Amino acid sequence: MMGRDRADGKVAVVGVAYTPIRRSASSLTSGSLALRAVIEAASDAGLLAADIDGLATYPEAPEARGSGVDGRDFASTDLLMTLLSDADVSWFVEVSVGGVLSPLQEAVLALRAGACKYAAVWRSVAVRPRAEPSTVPHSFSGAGAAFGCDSLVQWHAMRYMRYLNQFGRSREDMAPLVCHIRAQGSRNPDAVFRGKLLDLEEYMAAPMVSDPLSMYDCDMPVNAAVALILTTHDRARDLPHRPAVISPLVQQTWSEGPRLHYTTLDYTRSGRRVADRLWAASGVGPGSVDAVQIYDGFSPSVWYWLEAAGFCGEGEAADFVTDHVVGDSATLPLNTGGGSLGQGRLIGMNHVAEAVLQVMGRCGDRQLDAVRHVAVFDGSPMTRAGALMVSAEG
Amino acid sequence: MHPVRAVESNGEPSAITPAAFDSLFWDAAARHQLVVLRCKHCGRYRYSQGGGCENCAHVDFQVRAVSGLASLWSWTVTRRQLARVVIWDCPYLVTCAELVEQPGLMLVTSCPLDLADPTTLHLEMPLQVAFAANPRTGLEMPYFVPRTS
Repeated sequence: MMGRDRADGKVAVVGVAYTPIRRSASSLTSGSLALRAVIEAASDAGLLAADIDGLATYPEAPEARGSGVDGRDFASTDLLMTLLSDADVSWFVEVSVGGVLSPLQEAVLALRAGACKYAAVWRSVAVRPRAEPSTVPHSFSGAGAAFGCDSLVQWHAMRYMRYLNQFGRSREDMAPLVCHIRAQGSRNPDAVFRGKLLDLEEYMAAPMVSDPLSMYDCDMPVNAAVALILTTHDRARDLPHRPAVISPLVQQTWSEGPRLHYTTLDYTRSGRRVADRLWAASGVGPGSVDAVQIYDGFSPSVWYWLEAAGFCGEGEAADFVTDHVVGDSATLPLNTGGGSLGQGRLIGMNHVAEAVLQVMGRCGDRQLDAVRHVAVFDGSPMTRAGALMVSAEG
Repeated sequence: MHPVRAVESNGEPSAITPAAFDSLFWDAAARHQLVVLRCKHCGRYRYSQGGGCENCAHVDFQVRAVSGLASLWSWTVTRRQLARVVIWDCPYLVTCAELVEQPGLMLVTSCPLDLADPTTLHLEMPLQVAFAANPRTGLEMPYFVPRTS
């Protein structure tokens, strides 16, 4: 008969590591950064690299657009298996569609199934030199490439422009949220903007990239890797840190067929479904969760997620932020480590890491009191939405 | 505006490849005509290519001329070169227009700011297609302006 701990199916994060986060391309490749993060995360968990027998990543390089080089632009499971030559890997997976929660979900399932004992999940990101733009537009992709609109920034800009006009909002309404997230990032040693505040005037004077998105609404590309070590709850109890239990983890990809781009879909539909399941399965709700970590590669994503997750109604996020997130009366800690706007473009793995570190009680002067449940909302609430709850034991 | 006329011929292949649609699209644009793919089985329009019709899963499409009338879904003024293909010097206006032929049938186009003033735009405003010669691409390129009639 299986032991109770195994049967309860709980999986916990037991180790976390960041490499240094740098803005410029460095001699450290994505492969070497990933290796360093995995080894340090194992050490953080009180393990040796040789103890790692499960590997999972979401390797799509954000700027690679399908042409990335393994080791330079991302770090595959094949590469890590080679580099971790002492490890006896019994399970691995490389997720090509989804987001950073996808390899985490795979690792949770593999650990529950007994396919491995200690799984490393990482994300390695690289600043790539910008490719020389082409002047040959002839391929009509239907998604804007032939018309000079194939950047995610431009698509998010159009979604945001629509939102601002739908609900009578402006950039001024976004300023307090971005400055708040940056202030929290300034206190995080694992942030590209550590020690650097952003004030309201600087935000409003920011160079515009694609209206209404300014430079400070978009995360900064960085060279870095983040790794987490996961194991079953029974094993976790013998390791040095308070286990950060992952449960539940829900994902949804919503498609309305081949529309032009996912940003033209209902901007909260997928997120609503994911959030409803997260709250129902965890027994925690918007009013009782201790903190949230929300994907903020583009600042308006935070507004969309707050609405999708039921913190407020559609069009009400700016008021919710003013009343509940920033200022002296704030009740909802949000992106406590600085998110991607403060930490850099770590594509959501930083949000999971921050939730874990808060639950473990390892956040130094930004540590919250009595943290039991931290919700993570990842990706886009328009389509590839993901959410998980990181909880203290018991 | 040139008169709208049918694009497809009797010898039209049953499946239109992306490359074939590219040339049909730009050939039509050269005649100041906007075309779109239409499912031969159920009549649903689309711009995206590959895979079956999202309504009936049939794979045979034809190329159809559309009215060029649309409403404004959203827009952005791009102030830094972000795209893989340089079409206009920055800043330029990118418009996402929902064609009147079918809800959700959207086309993204762009134009320099002297052809359309972004400060006059508002959501859902009626638009119509126009065409401008692009010196970089050598193509007549469709873009959308506020509807005048």
